[in-house]
Amino acid sequence: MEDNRVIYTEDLTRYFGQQAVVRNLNLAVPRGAVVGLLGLNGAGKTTTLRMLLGMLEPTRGHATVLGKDSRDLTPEDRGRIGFTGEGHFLYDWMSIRDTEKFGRDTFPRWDDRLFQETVDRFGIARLAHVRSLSRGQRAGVSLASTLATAPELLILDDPSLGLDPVSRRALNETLIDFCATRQRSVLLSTHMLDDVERVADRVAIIVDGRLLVNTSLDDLQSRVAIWSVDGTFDPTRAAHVPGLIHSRPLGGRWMLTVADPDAESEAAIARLSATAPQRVNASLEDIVLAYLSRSRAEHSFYAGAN
Amino acid sequence: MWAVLQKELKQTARLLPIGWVIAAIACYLSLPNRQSPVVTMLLPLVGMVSGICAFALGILQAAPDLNASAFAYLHHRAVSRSNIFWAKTGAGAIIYALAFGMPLAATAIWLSAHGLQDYPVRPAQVLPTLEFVVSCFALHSAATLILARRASWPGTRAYPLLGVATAIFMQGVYLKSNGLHGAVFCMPITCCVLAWTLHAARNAWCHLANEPQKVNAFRAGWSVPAYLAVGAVVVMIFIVACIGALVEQRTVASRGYAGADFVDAQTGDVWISYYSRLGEELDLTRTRVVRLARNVDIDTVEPMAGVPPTTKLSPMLPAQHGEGVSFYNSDGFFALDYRSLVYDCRGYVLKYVPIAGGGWRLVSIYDRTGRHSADHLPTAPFARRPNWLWSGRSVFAVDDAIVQEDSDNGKFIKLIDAPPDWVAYAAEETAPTELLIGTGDEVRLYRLSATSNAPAAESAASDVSAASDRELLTAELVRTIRSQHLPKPSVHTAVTRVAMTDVGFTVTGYSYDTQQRFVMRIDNDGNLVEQFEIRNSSSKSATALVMGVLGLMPPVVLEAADLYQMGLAIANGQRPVPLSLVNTGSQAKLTIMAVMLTSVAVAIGITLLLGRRYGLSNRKLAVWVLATCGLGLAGPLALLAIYPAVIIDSCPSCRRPRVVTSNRCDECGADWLAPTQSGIELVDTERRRAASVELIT
Repeated sequence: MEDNRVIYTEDLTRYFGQQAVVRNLNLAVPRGAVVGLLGLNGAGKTTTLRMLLGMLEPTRGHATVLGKDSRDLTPEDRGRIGFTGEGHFLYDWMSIRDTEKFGRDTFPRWDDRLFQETVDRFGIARLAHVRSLSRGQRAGVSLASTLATAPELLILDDPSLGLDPVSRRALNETLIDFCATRQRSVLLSTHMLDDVERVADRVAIIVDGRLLVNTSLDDLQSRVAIWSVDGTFDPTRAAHVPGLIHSRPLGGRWMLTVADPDAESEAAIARLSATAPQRVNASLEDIVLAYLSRSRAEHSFYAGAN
Repeated sequence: MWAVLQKELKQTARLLPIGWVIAAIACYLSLPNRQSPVVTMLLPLVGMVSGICAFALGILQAAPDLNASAFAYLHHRAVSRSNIFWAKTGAGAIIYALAFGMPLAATAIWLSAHGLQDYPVRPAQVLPTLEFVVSCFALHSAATLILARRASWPGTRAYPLLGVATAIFMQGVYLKSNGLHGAVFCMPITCCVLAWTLHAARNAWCHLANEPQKVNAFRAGWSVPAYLAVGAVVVMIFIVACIGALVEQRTVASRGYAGADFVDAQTGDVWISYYSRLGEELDLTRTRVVRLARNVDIDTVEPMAGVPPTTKLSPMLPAQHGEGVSFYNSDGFFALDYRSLVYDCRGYVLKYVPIAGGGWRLVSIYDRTGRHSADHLPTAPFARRPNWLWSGRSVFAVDDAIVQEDSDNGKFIKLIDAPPDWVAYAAEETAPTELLIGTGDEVRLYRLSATSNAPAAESAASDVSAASDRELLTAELVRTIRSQHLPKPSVHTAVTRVAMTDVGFTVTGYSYDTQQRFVMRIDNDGNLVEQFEIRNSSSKSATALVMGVLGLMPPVVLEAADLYQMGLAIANGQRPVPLSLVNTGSQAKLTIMAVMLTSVAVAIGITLLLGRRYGLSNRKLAVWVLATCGLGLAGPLALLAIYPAVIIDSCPSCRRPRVVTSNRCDECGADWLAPTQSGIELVDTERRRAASVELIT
């Protein structure tokens, strides 16, 4: 049976010192899909990507990328994987032309035309030095360098960081075009929820190094529900609600986000308050923030100080 | 690879001018001048800065690309890591070669233009320095290895630097004084050190830069662990040296020191002046004159209040042996004496005079036949470095005779026609002098007297030394003692002071084997009257303590020193004696053995503890215990360096601590369990289906 997964991890674990930054991660990216990888800063996203690219060895478990163990990726395999790292690293002392030449000489399937068109889109002179570029322009050159390698798999770590809204939209459209044939795939690590909503087929959420969500967008939205409950204090402290992801106060009411709600959880919620709970629509942002807020307070910094 | 090489060249080219400036300054400061007419500082100075530059270049090339973002940008390409390493190293080598090659070439041209007429220099003197500079490039790879291998700086991170730096330092010391022969001898060592360092650095770059936790340094082949083991040995040697120096400093005040030797001309008895220390200073108020005798400890013997009035004490003459001790500071090309004479190691003595406005001028060249003009090298070079015996009368101890220069025609006139093993003389400018010569089984005493061929009026009117220069000497054989017991200078023995007395011949010497001074007396018939070691209990017990510190040395190092010592003896045509059989004194020997056995036992204990903690198999543990027997305390240090730090986490099954890298718990045998499900995990049905299929299969 042909394996349809371009990325597959099994119990992928990585420690830094005594801390497990990534724990028992089981992630799959199907061929032709755009998977959005979400998580707070320090949740383990970049560590996961580094392990997928063979830049960091797992403490336990393993990762398979394009059918190869990530620790054994050959230069040819790397030529099939496009990667843009966090911060859009480029050599400051190089000119755009040098960057292009370096890419052309080190990737066998380099597409000059695509690189030039992408760079032109950002209005960057070919002779300009990288150090003279704005953050957005640097991101443009970085993405151009990645896309010009004509990869089968794109792994992007926060690619829209520094991009203006127009460039962000262009990037999103590019990713959609990239996967149009359903033969090429994207793993997109980002904090931009609307980008994920726009381009991703699937979403994976990492919280404190653990993968809590790995499903399609539709499935996610259909399996999570939010109830609004009256109360001054967090009602879930007094009673257990099965599947409760997170509860947060909002204008004298409490918003309870619940995964895979069933009759039992609905009954538990009903018992929390004298008044009947109201079920509200759950957007992707609400759901993701509920997951992410589990490991970090989301209220105002001032509230924390008080 | 070419693209990465080009990129590295462009990136590091900006460092080239800095390298040029540093190398040029070092070369310039090494050039001869009025104060120092030779280039003996070329190798130390250029070698030192080249080592620093090679290391800095390695750091500057490796460090930026080991940053996570840069590492991914550079390495996530259709280029192998090995090629990236070689491109980096190649670019570094090119920049390094340009930075030091050009100033050294300019130095060679300068030396060629000025030697020998202006200074005792030759362009070939650049070659040992060039070889040393090539060796120092190993520090470039060491820098790469240090950065690619993750370890803590206070811990074992610097180990790769220590081994190679020690090897290079020892090579530099050897090259400094052995000229072209040293360069040829060191060539294979240079190649081996470079090849090993490059191989280890390449393996570390390819296999260890990923911060592996599960595997140890053996993943990168044998070169890296072997490299780290050498580093551990060097650390141990350094620690032993520090402890030794500390013990030495602590015991220095308790030691007595034997100074100059005197002999009683009538009895042949040896007297020494003996003094002790008061803190860091010599305590001259406690200086004593002690008569030496067998089984008498000079530390305990009551000093004579004064020398008996009937005793006529004469200072013993310092013996010179070995090649040309008059000429010092040799770099294998030239050696200086305290005047303006220079020995050219091709077999000539060059005489320079300072000229107005600075600089020097070659005025004459000596060979076996005498003095020649400075126009060209004469044709009869000395077979070995001569000794200049008198400053006043141009007397040399040359290959097979004692000769004097005839100041009129410059020819050498033979005073004594015999090849000396050692020479001792009473140096007086105007009075007749004595000369003692040891040759084989003979000691001969000559009395020298002047047979002036210079006009008396001229001699009286002119400077005394100038007049002395023109005097020719005659050597009158006074006495000869023939004995098969005469000590001969060798790698085991040094003849330090000699004296001919009424009753025979007296000599004091030093045994390198026993580290003891000795006295030997031979009568006029050549019979050995007595021979004994100078006993000094305070010094001996302190020495035993210092020697005991040697027991902390890795046994393999002591054995290597033993082999080196025996090899040296064989090369010199002597009987090889293992250090263990050398009589270093039972106290010192016992201390060394006790310390060594204890340190090895402690090291094995630590190795077992660490090995268990690292989860080594019994077979590996046995190998490490064996290795520790040879490495001593360096064994656990090497183990610490080779294996990564162990991370312990709580076992989800039995709650006991377990190593995170092993799949099974050592305590309960359980696998790592998946984190407890909290009911909010959302995995799509496709994923769940796949998971269940995997579970079934």
